[in-house]
Amino acid sequence: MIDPSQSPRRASPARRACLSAAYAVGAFAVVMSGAVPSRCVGAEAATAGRDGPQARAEDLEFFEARVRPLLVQHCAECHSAQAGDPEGGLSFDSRADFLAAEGVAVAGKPDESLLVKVVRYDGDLQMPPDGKLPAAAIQTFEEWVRRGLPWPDDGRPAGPAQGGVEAFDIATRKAEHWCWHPPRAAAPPAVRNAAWCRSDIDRFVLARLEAAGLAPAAEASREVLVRRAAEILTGLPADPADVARVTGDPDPHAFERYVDTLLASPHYGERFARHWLDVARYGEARGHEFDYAIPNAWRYRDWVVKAFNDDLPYDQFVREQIAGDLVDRPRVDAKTGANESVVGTGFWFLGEAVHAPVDIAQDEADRLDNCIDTFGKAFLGLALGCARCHDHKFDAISNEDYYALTGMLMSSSYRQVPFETLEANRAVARRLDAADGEARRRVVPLLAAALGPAGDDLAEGLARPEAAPPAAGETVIADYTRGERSTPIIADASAWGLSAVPAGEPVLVPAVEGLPRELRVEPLGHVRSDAVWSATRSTGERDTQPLGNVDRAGRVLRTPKVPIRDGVLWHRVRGHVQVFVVVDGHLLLSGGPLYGSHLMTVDTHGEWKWIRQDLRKDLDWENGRVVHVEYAAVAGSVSVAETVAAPEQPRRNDPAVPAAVNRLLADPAFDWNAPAARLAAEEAVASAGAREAILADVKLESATAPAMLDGNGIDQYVLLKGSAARRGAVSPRRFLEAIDGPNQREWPQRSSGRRELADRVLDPANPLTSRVIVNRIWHHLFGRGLVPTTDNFGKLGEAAADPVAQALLDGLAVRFREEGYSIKRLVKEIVTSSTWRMSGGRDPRAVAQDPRNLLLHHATLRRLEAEAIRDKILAVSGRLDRTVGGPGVEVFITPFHDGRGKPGSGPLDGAGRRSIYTRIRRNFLPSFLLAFDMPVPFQAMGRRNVTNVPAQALALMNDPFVTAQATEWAKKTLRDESLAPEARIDTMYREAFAREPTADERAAAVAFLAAQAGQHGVSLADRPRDEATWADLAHALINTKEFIFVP
Amino acid sequence: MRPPSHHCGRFRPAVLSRREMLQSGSCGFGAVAAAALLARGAARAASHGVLPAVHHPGRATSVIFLYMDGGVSQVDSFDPKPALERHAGKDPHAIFKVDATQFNNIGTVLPSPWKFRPYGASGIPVSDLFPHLGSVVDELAIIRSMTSEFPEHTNANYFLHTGSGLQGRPSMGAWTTYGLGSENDELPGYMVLNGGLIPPGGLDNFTNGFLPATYQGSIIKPNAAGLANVQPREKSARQQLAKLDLARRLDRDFAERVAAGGGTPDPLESAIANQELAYRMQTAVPDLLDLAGESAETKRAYGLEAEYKPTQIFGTECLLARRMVERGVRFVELTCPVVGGDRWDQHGNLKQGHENNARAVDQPIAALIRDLKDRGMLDSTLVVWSGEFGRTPFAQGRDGRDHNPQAFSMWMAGGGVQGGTVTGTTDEFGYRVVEKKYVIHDLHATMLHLLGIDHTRLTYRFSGRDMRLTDVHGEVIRDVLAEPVPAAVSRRSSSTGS
Repeated sequence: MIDPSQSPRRASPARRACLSAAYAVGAFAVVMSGAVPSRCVGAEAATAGRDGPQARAEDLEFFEARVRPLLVQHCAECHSAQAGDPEGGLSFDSRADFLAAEGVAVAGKPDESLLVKVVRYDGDLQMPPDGKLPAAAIQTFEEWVRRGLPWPDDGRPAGPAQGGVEAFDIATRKAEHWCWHPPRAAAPPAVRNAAWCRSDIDRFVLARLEAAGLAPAAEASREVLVRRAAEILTGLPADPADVARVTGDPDPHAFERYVDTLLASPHYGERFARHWLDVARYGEARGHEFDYAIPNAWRYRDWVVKAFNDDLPYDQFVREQIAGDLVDRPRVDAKTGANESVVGTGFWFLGEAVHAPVDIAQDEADRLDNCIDTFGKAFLGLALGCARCHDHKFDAISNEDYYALTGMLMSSSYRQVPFETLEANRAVARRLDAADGEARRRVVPLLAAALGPAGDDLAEGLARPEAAPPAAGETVIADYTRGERSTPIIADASAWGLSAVPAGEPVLVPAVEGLPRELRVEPLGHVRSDAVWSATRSTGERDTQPLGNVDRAGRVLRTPKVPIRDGVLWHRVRGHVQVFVVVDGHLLLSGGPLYGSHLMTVDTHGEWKWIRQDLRKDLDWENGRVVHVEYAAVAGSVSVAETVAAPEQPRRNDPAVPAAVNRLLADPAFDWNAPAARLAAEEAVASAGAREAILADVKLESATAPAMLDGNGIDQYVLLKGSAARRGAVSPRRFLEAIDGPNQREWPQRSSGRRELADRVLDPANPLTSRVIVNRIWHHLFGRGLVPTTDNFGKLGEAAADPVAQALLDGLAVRFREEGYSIKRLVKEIVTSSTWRMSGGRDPRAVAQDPRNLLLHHATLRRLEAEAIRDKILAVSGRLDRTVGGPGVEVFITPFHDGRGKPGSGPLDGAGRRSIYTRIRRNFLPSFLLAFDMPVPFQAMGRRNVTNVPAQALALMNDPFVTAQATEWAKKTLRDESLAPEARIDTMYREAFAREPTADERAAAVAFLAAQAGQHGVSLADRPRDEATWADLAHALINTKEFIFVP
Repeated sequence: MRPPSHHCGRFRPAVLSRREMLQSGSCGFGAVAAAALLARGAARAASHGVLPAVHHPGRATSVIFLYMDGGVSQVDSFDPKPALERHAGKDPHAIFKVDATQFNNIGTVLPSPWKFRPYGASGIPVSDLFPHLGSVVDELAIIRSMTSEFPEHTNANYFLHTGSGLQGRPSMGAWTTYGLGSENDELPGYMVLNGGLIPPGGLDNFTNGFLPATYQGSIIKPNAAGLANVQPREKSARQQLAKLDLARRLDRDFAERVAAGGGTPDPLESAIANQELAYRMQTAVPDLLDLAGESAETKRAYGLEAEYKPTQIFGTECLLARRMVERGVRFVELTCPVVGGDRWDQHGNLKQGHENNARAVDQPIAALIRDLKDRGMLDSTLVVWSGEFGRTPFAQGRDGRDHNPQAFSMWMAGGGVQGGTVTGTTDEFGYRVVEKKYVIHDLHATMLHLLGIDHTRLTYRFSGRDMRLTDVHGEVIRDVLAEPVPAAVSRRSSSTGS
């Protein structure tokens, strides 16, 4: 069966189509353009029968004898509330249920009834799906409709389905589940063994143990604590010198001080950044068929590393990812002046993308779904994605909530932001805008005076630019001709200025070559990118070709998003410009066979021209599409006046005055020596000079990063069953009803509302945000969250083990918020607690009573994460390059990596860089890391799998990376020739395990060395320094469980 | 060496070198490994599935999935359409409603360049592309009414493999081993034989997704190199054993120390067990790949001596698939070899392209089915043959066919399937399904059913809900079953929440 989208090319996520689907025919509701919301055919069609005349007995008999059996046999399987969720909300269980699904049938009119159409297989929606009914059955349905849909009322009320599914009621669901209740800081419970407690954390944990009749394990030794802290907080093994220093330090607070040094290490940021990248489904390529790169994605990765290292308060960390482009005062790097806040919004663009989807509207819906899902899990611990096709089955999240959030993303778009120059050039643009205003004030009156009677019109015309009235059949996407009343300027940086240039603006144009410039006025209002901006350069990667053929970053003017009905666009432009029509948010062109018409580059050689762009070849426009246009200056000065969707070239009555003025000025008879004329010309030249001086301050070169570009506010429709082709009612942008209530302030129309979204996420009344992050940190430090399902606090998540754990989490969350959202402070509080310092000693009684260690009676043994294992191997071998940040190292390609878009291989040892700096190409993930459960980045994964598979053992036994590093370790160990073998063994133990070997272990190693040397056929004399022999020992140590398990 | 001759869950080849290896370390790691083999320790646990028992008796115990990368044309293989001749050269728009295709370069109605002829007792017509498959058509249950939801490769591949068009969901092989575990302690339960082509969408077609990594597809190349990291890097087995012996000894002390006498923590226990399994795989995998014991006749039948190199590759894959099933591997997937041009994705040059691809797989697959049957293994081995979608009955350009997710043909054989049958009907052009439309979820439901699994009851709690291979869909395709569906499993799936 096919959904009723008219687009069987890509069926909806829920295949079983929905008969009751209201057919929305409007396009997206665009607040700014004032487009009408959808008309609902369903509302007009047919509910006749509901209040119709009483059915006659013979009709009812007909129904019972002929129709009901058909319904039972062919329809009820899917369309019954009794079996759960009736497909498409249509149930044939009772007359009331059937009539409740509007738009299915028009009583008396079979040919107009959807029901009849679908059983006739007349169209794409065909029922029943497994084969057309016999002709007689179809005729029965037709007859039934003709008779006015007789159906005896069996007395069941209309309304929500009775049966398995819990009715959706936000208030009830909120009341019934803990996560919606605000956290409260409760006083810690009383404990008997108060001396054991270092903090409130300990009082909560101990109270629980005491209640269970258990005692905490003894404190771990200092050397175990040092190893544990180093590997958990920085993901690198402890420096043997630190182990010696801290274990020998008589100061009882030596461990606390060591924790401080770890938190101050740049490697702490790397470690916790990697945790967050799991949540952000971080990738540097887009997967899909060719795995195209996400240009400069690593800037986001470095932003996260720096955020943790700087202990950026968590509220700011969240705000900048959601809306760092919209914060009032962006964080600016003191040294470089770079805007740091905007880089956080790269968060939204780290997912997969399809380079040439057949159904781009559905593709957009899918892409945004990943964003909403990631957003919900990352910041709120909610599975918002579940509400894409219907109200959440268990949580207080409605279908409307989902699309209210989606609208904010649709209102925003992608850019490569030149973040290093963004602020400096914004300042330039501000000065330029002021200078232009000033020039206008000075020059126009003088010019007006010089022009005589025509001059009055000029002065007036500048004040009240003429409107260009759109003709019938035109949709104006952007109109920059109307001075201050023009379409707002949306641009990826400041090249296009802060305000539109009005018609009649005085401007110096070069006269004949070699002669001085002459004064003219602009014939047409427009926005302009001065020539200097076309000389800017981005130093990072560009967008995929062919889009990236132009160095776009910082040069893009973006129109609002507007729904249009037909695929012909007209651009009134002047200059050399790349024109890119973004349809349904689709921006990954990449030279595929589709959508070639969406991108073109034109040069009008300084003339105003209407450029035609026909998109009809590449797409069907039956149902309209939402588009915006991106203009990127290619070279020189570029101007844009209007963007119009229309079948024919728009006709415009261009303002008469500027043309008349220019005719006068160009007339050789015009007296430039008249005082007013001369003064006007002099002022104009002076203003132009001032302009040049300001433009000289433009910073030309910048790195770029993927980031959000805010646009006009768009409200999204509820997409029925998640299908882009089937629109329900508009769901205006707002935050979750369960948190902010049903009556929220209106969301802004001139922007996406992400700024407001960040406010709501961080509002103290939001019960989730602080709890979710505190729980994540707990999870990373203990290996298991107080709420084990770190990304799902909903009903299907796993709640805290008991009220004490819940109170502990809540208390930490409240204090975390009240004390300024410092993650480092939280980390320190936890790892210096007595709870965290317990040893792994297992009391058999406690293990029997609480095998999962939910009560925390000992330290759970944890396997290191994939990255930490690899980093540790590099660290012990001495190969580790500790450089922080920068572009990623290409992944090492093994013979088992295959597929389209395969990159050239990086070095086997990843250039010695930490694993976080290996490029994450979605289709070519690093195999060594994958073996150890590095997550495939497709959605938020705050809690990794920790598996035990033979592939891990095989990797440690036979992966060439491991054996090569074992050899490196051996070489390093042999470097100091004066050492005895025992001393070398001791050093290796310190490096790998942060402890001294026992006498037995030392002896075992010595015996092993001797045996292996014999195997290698090494002479007795060479044995102490034989590299292969020592590499064997190194390799054996790497293969011990102690190497990869943190005690 | 005696080649294994029957499908047996306890199969263990008596390889001299390995026995030597075990003996050589009689008081060390090898001994431990041998002890683990006998005692069926934690490694065994790792290969167990979650289902304590099958939901109903299923005939199949293993699956061989023959993935036809790119999408075979149904009207050129198993779904003859004489009407195409009648309409040849006409604009399809004038005859039926044409949907936008990926390339939207819609040419005229294109009849099949191949003739169909009836085969076997069933008389089912098969095109001249597949004469060998024709010869075993009485074993095939052909479904002509399969559909996909995605018109382009990547999503369609994910959909075919995982029941979802999105990346990162568990593959059907992962679900199967998750449910049933493996019957071999020396090999992974889900193995992919990579003939050269990795489908668009990459290795994630074989991923364990959110299921534990134990269930991910292990990718093996049909040559001596085999599996990643399976080759020891030491010069001699003794050298490696000595290392592992040392590590093992140190591990014991570590477990003792860290748990302070409270018993070895589970993760340590299974990490140690896995090291032992890995050690065994070092010999089990090369043994698997070593075809020296196969008769010349067998090799010839599979096409290992074929003139056409891709036939040799795919023949090797098919033969290895049989050897894996013999060894108790639960789920084997074969990917196609590179035939020079494109995979089955003939947007142009249909004749040459499809002929090359067919030439590579036709003989080996027929040999596989016959070999399985001869060895009495066909009944317990479900063989599935499918692409991710079909192709259009009209031309793309002049001589190609574009993607068509609205109707395509696939078949199953063995494992409780009724051979010599055809299910479902397409319209007279083979463009859309008109009767018994099936979707990928139905295919998955059927495969699981044949394995004794009720697809609605094989679930994994992730992301807030009980996930299934079939999502909230899927119905067993009853027409292909050799035995009627027991009443208990014939009920339609009901929705679970999301």
